[in-house]
Amino acid sequence: MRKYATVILILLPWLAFGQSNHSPLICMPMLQQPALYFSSDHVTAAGFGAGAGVHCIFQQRWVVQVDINLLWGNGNAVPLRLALGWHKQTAHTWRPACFGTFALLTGDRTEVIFDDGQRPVSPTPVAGIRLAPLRFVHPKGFASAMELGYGRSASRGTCLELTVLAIGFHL
Amino acid sequence: MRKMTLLFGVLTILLTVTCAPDAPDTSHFSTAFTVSEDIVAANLMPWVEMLSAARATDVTVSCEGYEEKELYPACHLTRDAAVEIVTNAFSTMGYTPRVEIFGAGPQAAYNVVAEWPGALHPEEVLLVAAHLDGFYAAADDNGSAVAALLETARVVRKYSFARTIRFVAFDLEEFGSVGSTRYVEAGRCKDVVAAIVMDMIGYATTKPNSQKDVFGVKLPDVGDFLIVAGNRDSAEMLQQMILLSHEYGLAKLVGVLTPGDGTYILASPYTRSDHGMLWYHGIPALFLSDTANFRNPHYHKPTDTPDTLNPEFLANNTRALAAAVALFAEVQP
Repeated sequence: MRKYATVILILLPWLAFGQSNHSPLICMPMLQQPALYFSSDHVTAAGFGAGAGVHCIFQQRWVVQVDINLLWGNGNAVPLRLALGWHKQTAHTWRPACFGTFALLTGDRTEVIFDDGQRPVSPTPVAGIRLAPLRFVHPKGFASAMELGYGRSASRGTCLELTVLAIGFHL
Repeated sequence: MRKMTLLFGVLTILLTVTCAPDAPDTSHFSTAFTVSEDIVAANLMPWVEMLSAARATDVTVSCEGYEEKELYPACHLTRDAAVEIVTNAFSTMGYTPRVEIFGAGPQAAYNVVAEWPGALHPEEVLLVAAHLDGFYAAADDNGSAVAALLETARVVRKYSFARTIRFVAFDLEEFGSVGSTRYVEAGRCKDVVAAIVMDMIGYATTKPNSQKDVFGVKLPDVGDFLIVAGNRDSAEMLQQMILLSHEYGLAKLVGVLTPGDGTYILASPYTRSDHGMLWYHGIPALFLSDTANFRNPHYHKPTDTPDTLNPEFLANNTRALAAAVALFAEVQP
């Protein structure tokens, strides 16, 4: 787990800084308040907490976000998430977006052991979608509230996500 | 763009480099299984019936300070007759049991303790426990587990173990694990290196959708299995017990490993018995249960009677218990 966090922490500032407003790729560091509930036949992870990541807008149309989160409620769950999406072009700052998502759930969780005594593999991969209907983009950053996510994984896994608030600042 | 490509590459590596924990050690399984073969199924239900019958005429424990509710009939708790039955049972088997009293007054806790000394490491104790107090007839909760404890106590005397096996029938679990809490806080668990605690292990049904999920943790839909719950400290024990039971076809077990010490709020239903204080103090402990009110409609009701139990389920669970006790106490060949 520590090595994953180290890689992410090295990558985040590298991606987030050194971009210019004239670049087709604009990246900004972001913070968020996510909540997550994941349940499969062998893994249950849940919690509410905080996260940080990088939010990138490519050619003013495509959106990429990678973030790492620490959630409390059932130990310390750590979802590492990648979202690739598109946001609507409007004349205003309102830019609702939809994403295809891929997450790796690691950290603490409740596990149902296999009959052979093995524990389920960690991290658990989850693929899904996320909608950001209340997303606003400004030259100095973005803000998004009440993002809703739904994902599936192996072993009847279902993941429900709610991002209460996400904020990014263009440095 | 190159940076994005690199990022995707890193994520792909993270996905593929996953780590599966080590497989359980199986080197002592066959000798542990031998002990389980000595369990006599026919011995179990008579204990349950005797305990339930005795509660009918027993004096209830003072419920002062506890509010009577539908699923918490605080003023219908009995224990005196059970203390006597369990003590006499241990004596008959050849043990020298002792009743350890914790607290004073009408809500003093009377824990019954019996030990089978270890041959190589007597200072290392395996604690095997079940609570002896119960509401109404209390066949499943907890006559079933007391019966399993007594039958296992009978069987282990035929064998020699490296570690000491300490059987404890805790009192006043229904009042908030009073007997076990006072026992731990009195320092009586300082020599305990592992523990198995049982609470309700005799109710099973094959009806579809008879099993409810426990606080969002998905369980099989049919309530015909026994939960074995562990935490960070007892993860290896849990893996070993699940594999041992599966390899030798002892009982249908579902192992649930809770995060950390098991006391996080979303895992809290799994701390609902006498093992809770052991987990809290970092003592490796397994918890065995049929999931109580998540399956048994007679939970804490006058209908929790012996005829509602599944004798075969109870017998299989007792075999799995005996094998696990033999494994963790290190039975000598």
